[in-house]
Amino acid sequence: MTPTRPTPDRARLSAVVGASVFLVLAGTAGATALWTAATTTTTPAAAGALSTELTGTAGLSAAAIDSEDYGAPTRLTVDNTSAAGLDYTLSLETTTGALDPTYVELVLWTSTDGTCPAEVPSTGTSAGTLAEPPALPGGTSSAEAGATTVVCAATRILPDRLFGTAGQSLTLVPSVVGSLTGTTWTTRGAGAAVTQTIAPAPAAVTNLMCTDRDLLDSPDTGGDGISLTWEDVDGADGYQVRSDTGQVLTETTGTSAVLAAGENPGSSVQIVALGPTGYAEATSSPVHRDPQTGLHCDTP
Amino acid sequence: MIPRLSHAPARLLQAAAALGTAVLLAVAAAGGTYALWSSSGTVPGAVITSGSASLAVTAPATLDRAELYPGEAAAGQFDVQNTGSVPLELRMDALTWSSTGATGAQAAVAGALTISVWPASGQGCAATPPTQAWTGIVGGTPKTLGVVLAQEAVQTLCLSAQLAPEAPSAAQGGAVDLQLTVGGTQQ
Repeated sequence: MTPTRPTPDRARLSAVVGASVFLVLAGTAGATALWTAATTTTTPAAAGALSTELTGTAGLSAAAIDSEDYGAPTRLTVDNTSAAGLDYTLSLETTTGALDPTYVELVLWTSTDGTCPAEVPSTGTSAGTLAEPPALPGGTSSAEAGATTVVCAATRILPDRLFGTAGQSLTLVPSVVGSLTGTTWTTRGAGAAVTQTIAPAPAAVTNLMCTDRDLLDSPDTGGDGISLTWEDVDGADGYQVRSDTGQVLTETTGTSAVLAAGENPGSSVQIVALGPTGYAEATSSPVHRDPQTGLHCDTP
Repeated sequence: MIPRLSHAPARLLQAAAALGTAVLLAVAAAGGTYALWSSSGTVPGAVITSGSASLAVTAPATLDRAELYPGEAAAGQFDVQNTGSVPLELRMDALTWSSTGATGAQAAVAGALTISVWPASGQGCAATPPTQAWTGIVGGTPKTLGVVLAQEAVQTLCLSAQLAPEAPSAAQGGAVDLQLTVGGTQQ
């Protein structure tokens, strides 16, 4: 027996009955209300802060640098005052001065016993300049929370950079920058300012005396000429006798010189005191050359 | 010969039957009666008191680390009591902080914190939240905590706060007071 399909009339009737029943039941259903409540609590949350300190840098300041030797080693102390370990780099910020920072070498090395020796060791140092400082040596390039590291440091003027820098100076502020590994967090500990000062040039020669030489008086000198004497200048390593055009006629470490009659210094001679960092302004003494009798001092 | 009814009267009868049935059902469902006699009386002294739904924090939240560094997390806990008269399903409603007059460090910290809240189990509260915990940032989306608190019952909720590994350096030293709002829905 095959099931019979409901007629359209019956389908419509069923729909009407169903809808009626649904509406009746839905209309009589009870309304539901859910009570709610809330409460609040407060909790503090804080981020840590990095901090570090650099001390001892004032010992790098040097007055009157007059040689290419290293200055006395200085003990630098880096304190990680944070509650987290830090990686360190050294930073030098130039503030004032005419001295070229690339002329000054900075060497760093690790102190094994917390002290720094009187001399710079021949090995185990890292070197840079005040323009590009070296990396902190191993063992001091990072520090655990609360740890202190000691770095030894010394400076010197690089070879062949001293002469010509007389009186120049450079002031900079060294600092260590600590960073928290794997993050963007950094902190900076600035040390005391460091000043490097080059010794001044020697003072000018004074009391220059010019004396005519007589062939008869000095038969071994080879002819007429002039004799020059002057006072010794403190800090001078030597002296140059120059013509008025700047030509170096002779050099000496003493305080006298002789110019032969045949030399031609022009209308004057100049004595220049030389020091390690430069030379003094010249002082002059008038002279003249007689075609017949040679070189003579002019009467002041 | 018995005359047959036409189709139209038959449909009319069917519709009338359906309507009658609907009316019958409506009357029956509404439960009304249609007595002709009626009477009424007043019972004196009857007092009806409604129930209440309320929650209270009985032990405020504290974290086990005073300061966080990038990538670090701190754990803590706080107690919530159902002080009403109906069972409540707990949910994490809101995480806020007062930004009025805040410093740059405070704003940076608030923006770099991720908070998790979940019902404590017998294992205590660790800094690493379970997967089913509510985890969000300031202004996060509410979510049920999956626990129903009976009348007068106390539930310990675990709390963890993590400072994002990429938290900006400007967040250093910043401190904020976080307000955690726990809600309850009657069950």
